[in-house]
Amino acid sequence: MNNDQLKPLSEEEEQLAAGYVLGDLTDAEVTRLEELLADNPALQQEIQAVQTSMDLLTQSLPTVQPPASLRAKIVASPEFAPSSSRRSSPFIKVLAGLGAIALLLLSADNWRLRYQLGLAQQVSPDRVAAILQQPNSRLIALTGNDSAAAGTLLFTPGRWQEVIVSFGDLPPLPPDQVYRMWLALENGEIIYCGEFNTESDGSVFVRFTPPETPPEGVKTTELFVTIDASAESPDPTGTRVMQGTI
Amino acid sequence: MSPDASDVELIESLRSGNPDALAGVYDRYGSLVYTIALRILKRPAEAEDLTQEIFLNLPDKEKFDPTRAALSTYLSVLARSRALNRLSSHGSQQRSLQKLKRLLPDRSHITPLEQASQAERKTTLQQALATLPDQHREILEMNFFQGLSHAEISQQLNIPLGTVKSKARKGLMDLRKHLGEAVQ
Repeated sequence: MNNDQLKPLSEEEEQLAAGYVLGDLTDAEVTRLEELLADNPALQQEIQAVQTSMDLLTQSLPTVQPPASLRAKIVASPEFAPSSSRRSSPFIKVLAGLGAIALLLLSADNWRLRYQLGLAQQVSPDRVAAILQQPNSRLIALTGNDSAAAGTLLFTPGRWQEVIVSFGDLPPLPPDQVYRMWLALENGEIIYCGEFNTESDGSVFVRFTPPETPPEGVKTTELFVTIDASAESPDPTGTRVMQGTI
Repeated sequence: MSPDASDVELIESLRSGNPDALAGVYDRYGSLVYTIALRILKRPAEAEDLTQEIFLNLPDKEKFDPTRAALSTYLSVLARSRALNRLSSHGSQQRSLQKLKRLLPDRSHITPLEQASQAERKTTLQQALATLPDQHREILEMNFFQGLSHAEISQQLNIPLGTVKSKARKGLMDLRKHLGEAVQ
């Protein structure tokens, strides 16, 4: 590929390209990456090259030959019948859904959404597929205020009845405390979405069916997570630990 | 199928329903997929099962364009992704989604390293990995082959999270630099 007319990359750009591929960018770094991408087409090529380097790592492994019986099983399998009648697992359908979204995102060249979608994992495939199949489904990034916590919320605008959140690096709480999630509206109202706690590794995957939905026509502005005493009724003024702008 | 058939020809033939094409693809890449599956899943029976699943579902992958991405890369990315997915399903009894960008990387062309022979590619990659400091390589491999988050790696190696992150990035940056134009 001819890079002669492209600007050489700075250390910062190389760092961000590596962070993008590793999936460990902070929200501020994603913003910075977007700015730099707009200014330097070579950075896009660099991300591709870093991605390829990472993807090829699997091919560095010393080869292990599978047993000869495996070939016979695959080649002679009656399951091999390429036709439209082949059953496809729900999982494949999810991937197909993701693929469709990915194409949209690729065409829009929206790096942030692509990045967030890449990070959205450990979620129930059926429900995610249902949301992703909506043409306007959105992913909102949430980041920790004073921690490395980061995560994504997936929803369809106008259909707040079901949202899916996936967080990482959120510390587990003592049994008498709980995380609660809130949705802020442009009219100042705050809607309670649901509560959760984390796995021992700090990860969370939950599907909320919020009891209340925003009034029609009122825009949503922000999502945030607070720590609350589990015995008390939900109170949006608790300590904020994560937030994200819609 | 001729053993000299190109990957593009094999995929086209597979999609038109030729069972010989499946044997052709398997003979070329069966050990690649099995090796990755075994490295991640550890148990031969599970690695065989996953290998079988990947090859038998291959005709369904209508979206895969063999002129824009190398079949070897596609299969190895898929094998890793599916294997990690099975690992996580053991723990949580819930299937996790694969990382989208791992399955649909932004490919516009096939790089020189992907066009090289499998043996040549392996040697180049092993040489590049060998240039990395041990801990950088270890962190990348824990992340890549065990699917561990940086927080989990930080706990297992007993080093600060920030150090894990910076070493992972540095390791990947160095690997990419070492591979140079071969991955452009």
